Amino acid sequence: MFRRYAPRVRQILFLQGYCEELDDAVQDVFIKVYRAQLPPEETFLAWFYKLILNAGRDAGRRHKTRTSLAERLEAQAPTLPAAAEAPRAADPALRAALADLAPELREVVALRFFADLPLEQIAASQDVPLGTVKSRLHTAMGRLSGSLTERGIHGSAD
Amino acid sequence: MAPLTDGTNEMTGTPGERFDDDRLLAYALQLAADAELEQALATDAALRERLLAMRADLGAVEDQMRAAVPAPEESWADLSAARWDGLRPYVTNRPAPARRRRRLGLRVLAPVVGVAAAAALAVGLVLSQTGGGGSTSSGEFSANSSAHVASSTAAGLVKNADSVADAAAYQTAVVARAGAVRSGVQDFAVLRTLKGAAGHSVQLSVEVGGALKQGALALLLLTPTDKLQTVAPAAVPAPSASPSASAAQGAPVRAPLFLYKGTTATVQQLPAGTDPQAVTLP
Repeated sequence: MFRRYAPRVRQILFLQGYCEELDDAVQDVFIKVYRAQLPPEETFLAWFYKLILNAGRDAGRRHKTRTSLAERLEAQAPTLPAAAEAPRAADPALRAALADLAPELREVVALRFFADLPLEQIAASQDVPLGTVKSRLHTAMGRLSGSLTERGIHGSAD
Repeated sequence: MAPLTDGTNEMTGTPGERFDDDRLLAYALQLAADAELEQALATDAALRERLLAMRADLGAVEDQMRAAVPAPEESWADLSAARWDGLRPYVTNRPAPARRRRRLGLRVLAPVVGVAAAAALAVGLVLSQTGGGGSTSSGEFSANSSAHVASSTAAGLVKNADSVADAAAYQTAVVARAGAVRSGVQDFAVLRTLKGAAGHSVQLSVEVGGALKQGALALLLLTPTDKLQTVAPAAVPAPSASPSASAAQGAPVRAPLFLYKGTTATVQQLPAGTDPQAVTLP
C-alpha cells in the first residue's frame, strides 16, 4: 500500500501547498492510517484522501511555511528527481497559475489528476456537495488553461 | 485553450454561439451531460473543432501539472530508507534480508546476553557476600537469575514489575506496540496515550536485559516525576554503571532496563490479545 500510494500522497500534499516537510507529512499520514480503525471498503478512498487533506491542513496550521508554493514549485525539479516518464519542465505561467489558485481549488485538481478520484469521491473527501466540486474544477482548469493560452501555448489535438 | 469568445460565430449568429467556452469546458471536463451541445456537435464542424482544441489544451494543462509536481523516484518509497524510520514500528511483517538479520542479531543479542550474564553473576556475588537468598545458594540464584533474564529476552517479557505499577510516579503513560530494535534502541508505536503527551512513536534505549518481542503490546511509563526520583532512587542502577560495579557497591541489579530521553522508563508487557482501548492505569 505504501509504495503504491505514498508518491501520490506526496504530490497531493505538495500541491495543497501547506507544508514544506513533505516526507514527514507523508509519514504522518501513513502512521495515522496504520493506527486507524479502517472504514468499510466502499468508503475507504474518501476516508483516506480526507485524511491526507486534513493532514496537510494541520501541518499548515502547525508550521508556518518559510517559502511560498510558487517558490517551491520553481525549486521542485532540482530537489526531487523526477521519474523517467515525467514530461519536460512546467511553464512558469502554469506554475504561477497553480500557486495562485485557492487551496480548495488546488485540492480538487490534485485529487482529480494525481489521485484519479471520481468527482463524487472528491466531494466526499472535501466534505462538500458534488456541485461545489464541479464548480471548483471548472474554475481551476479554466484558469490554468487560460494561463497557458495567454502565453500562446496550446495542446496538440492529435 | 480556445479563445473565450468565438468572434465568427458571434458575428454570424450560428448555433455555435450558444455554446460559450464555459459550457464547452464543463462538457470537456465531463462535469455535466449536455444533450443540446451533443446535438449541435453532430452538425457543427466549427464547434467540434473548438471542443477538440479545448480538450487538447486541457491535456496540455495536465501534462504541465505533472511536470510541475513530478512523481518521486521509485526508490523514494523504499521503506528501508532512514526517512521512514517512524513507520518501521507499523511495518513489522517485512522480513529483513538474511545478512541484515544476522548483523542485527549480533549487534543486539550479543550485548544483551553479555549484560544478562554479567548481571546474573553480579547478583550471585552480592548474595554470596551478604548471605541473602535464604536457602538458595549463590550459584543457584545466579543460574535462576540468568535463566529469568534469558527467558525474558527470549519471550520478550519484561519482569521488573517490582519497580513498575506506580503510574503516578511518571508523567506519561502510553499503550504502545513494540517495533524493531536498531543499535540498542527499540521503536514503540504509540496506540493510545493514557496520561501526559506523547508523539506517534517512542524510542527507548535498551540498557539492560532485552528488548520486547516485536509486535508485543506494552504499557510504557515515561519521564519519572520527582516523586519517583526521591522515592526510589536506588531502584534502578545508573545507566552508566556496569552490573559488576553496582554489585560491588551493593546496589540492586534489575533487568531489563529501558531509558527514555535519558531517564528510566518502565515497560510492562501486556498479554497477547489485549485491547489497547481497555487498558487502564494501575
